[in-house]
Amino acid sequence: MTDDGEDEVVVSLDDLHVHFENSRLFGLKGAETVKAVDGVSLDVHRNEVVALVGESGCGKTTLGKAAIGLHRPTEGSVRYRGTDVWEAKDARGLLSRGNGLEHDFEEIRRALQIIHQDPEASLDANSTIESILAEPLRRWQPEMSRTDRREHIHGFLEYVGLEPASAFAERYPHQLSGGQQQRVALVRALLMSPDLILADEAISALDVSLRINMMDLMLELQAAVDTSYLYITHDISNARYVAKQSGGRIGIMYLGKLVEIGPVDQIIENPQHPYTKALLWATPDLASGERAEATHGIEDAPLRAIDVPDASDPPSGCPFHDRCPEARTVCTEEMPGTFDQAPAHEVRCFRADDDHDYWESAALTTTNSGSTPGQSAGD
Amino acid sequence: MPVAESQTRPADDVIFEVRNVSVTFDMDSGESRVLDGVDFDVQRGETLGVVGESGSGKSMFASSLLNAVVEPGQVGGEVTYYPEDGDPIEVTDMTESELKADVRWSEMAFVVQSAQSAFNPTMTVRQHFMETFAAHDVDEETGLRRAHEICRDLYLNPEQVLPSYPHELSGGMKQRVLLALGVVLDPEVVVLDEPTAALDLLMQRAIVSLLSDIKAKYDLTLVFVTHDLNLISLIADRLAVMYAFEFAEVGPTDRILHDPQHPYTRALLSAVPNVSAPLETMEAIPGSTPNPNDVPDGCAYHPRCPVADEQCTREAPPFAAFEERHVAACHHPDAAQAEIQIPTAPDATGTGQEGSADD
Repeated sequence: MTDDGEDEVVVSLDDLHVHFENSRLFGLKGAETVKAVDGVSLDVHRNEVVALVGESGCGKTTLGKAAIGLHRPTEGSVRYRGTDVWEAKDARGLLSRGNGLEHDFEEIRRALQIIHQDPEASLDANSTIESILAEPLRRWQPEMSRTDRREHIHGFLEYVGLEPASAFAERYPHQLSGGQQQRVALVRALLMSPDLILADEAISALDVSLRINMMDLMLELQAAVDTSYLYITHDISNARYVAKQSGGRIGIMYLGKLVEIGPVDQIIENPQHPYTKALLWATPDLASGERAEATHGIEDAPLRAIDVPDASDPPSGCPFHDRCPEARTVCTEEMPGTFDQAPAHEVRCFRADDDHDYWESAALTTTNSGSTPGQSAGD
Repeated sequence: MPVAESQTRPADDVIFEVRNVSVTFDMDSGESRVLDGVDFDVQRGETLGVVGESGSGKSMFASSLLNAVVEPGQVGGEVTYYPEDGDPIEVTDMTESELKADVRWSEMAFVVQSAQSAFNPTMTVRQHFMETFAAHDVDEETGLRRAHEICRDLYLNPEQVLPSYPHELSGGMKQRVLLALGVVLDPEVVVLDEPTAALDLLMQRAIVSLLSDIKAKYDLTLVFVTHDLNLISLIADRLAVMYAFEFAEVGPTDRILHDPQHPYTRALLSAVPNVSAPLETMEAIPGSTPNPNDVPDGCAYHPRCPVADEQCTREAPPFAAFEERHVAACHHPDAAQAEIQIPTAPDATGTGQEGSADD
């Protein structure tokens, strides 16, 4: 990264845990705790794009929402430019007397924005686009005149291709296509001049042919308004697309843990965690002619089991061990710490440590239940 | 099933012959044509990938093969099914009860997304199998033996899965159970409509891999309908690309991926990010897909097409034929080749026109 903002941390997660009580069967079976986020530390820098990739239930959305102050951590902290977000929230009302915090909660709320997967649900169906977009401006820039506000909104609408802006401004959300709604949601977030936007599967509801457009627009506007993105996706190709252009990073999550994070090219071309490798296996690469290579039967899968364990009862040690083709006894007993692989490239797998006891540990040969591909000896 | 005497088998080993098939819905705003007079031959034993964006007509094509279009949709035209042995069957002439008794599941199975399926929540998986056996006079013991085997083929533990209720299974398990139910009566052809769309990446890839295995083991013909070009390309022998309720291009998978002729196919390949192609070769397709009440005249793709000319606004292009039974409905394939680059990884063998994109 050559960005000026490299060292300026906007949001900092420190050993973040977010646990949920899951009352199964209406409480008849008693509550279970799901550790949606289980000890994640992550700094998002100014103007940085961090793409978080993982399967559903891995905790990526919970992590994202915690990072913008929408979920209170069970343990650990979320800081916005050094100020603990939840201390700031709890100190609301004490402002006039001074609370010793550098940034108050209202400022933090403005600075941390979100774009949802379903834009229609996130836009007020009974308001015109203009009033949807005027609302944040009235609130955060009350000194702005009505005329200026309108000009500002129309300028943004034109910028994102919703032209003529005066016509779009009068429409209601349901009169727009999904792609147009998502652009309105993006403009609404950007009008706050946020420091960080959580984009939660922001393109997955759009038609395939429009997704790149939306990603391009987000990146263009990032440069224009000076914001960072925490970009949540299940699709590693999209993560590459959006993070690579901005020199950002890709983080891989599995069952509440950040198992690998690094610069885009490191993650795509030099993945270290067996789970990252499995995700790449699941992402066919047509351009490189991968199709010609193998039989594509399940025996090729770099997995010992294809079903995901129950998130409320994750495997001991490394939570990936029951599916991992490289797992050894030690992996069932102990969660690996974080190992540095390359500059800014970290991985939570014993295999990254040449001197680890892992290498002396016995390989796991037993497999669980029926959902087990053949031992993938080829890996 | 009444079949005209004059009917003869096609020269190729065709399993489905689709002729001028349309699906229409009567709407307040007029007739909505969601599949527009398509002709198609599905070859016995092939894996055919039918690819399109939402609203392209791909699901309607899948349903019409089995005459399973939901009410109040109307199917016109003819779908002929050629069993391995026996007389051809006009699927489009059969009533729902004839279909159920004679062809569905025993000859042709339809596998949809498990989230949209008619799993009965009050019945165990085992009961679902039993119901299928009873409906087709299959001996329970034989049927269950086969159910066990197919479950194991699909990496489901039968001891665990058969006594379970649908809600007790994960999405990936439910989808595999549906597949097992589809295959258990030993059909010749399995039509799959977006069977992986709601699943996680690893499960999507696993299911595609499992399909490739069970296709080989049970000697199936697969018709796999999806929006996911990358995924289906791994196992498809042929790809059929749909746009605006018609086929735009059909050909062997390698031809479609590496030498596509239709501007839409070329644009679609560039619009789907992958992990190796240079970023600057990826580009969205301007405009949006037409809705069925408002399909452009001439070539339906012309408003979005960079090589469209006046002719394209007037005349619907016929299929032009290329090598290896590869066809594309375009007036100007040469211009499309010249104008619309497709992404290639820097180290891929092939045309490799791009330089390094790495920054």
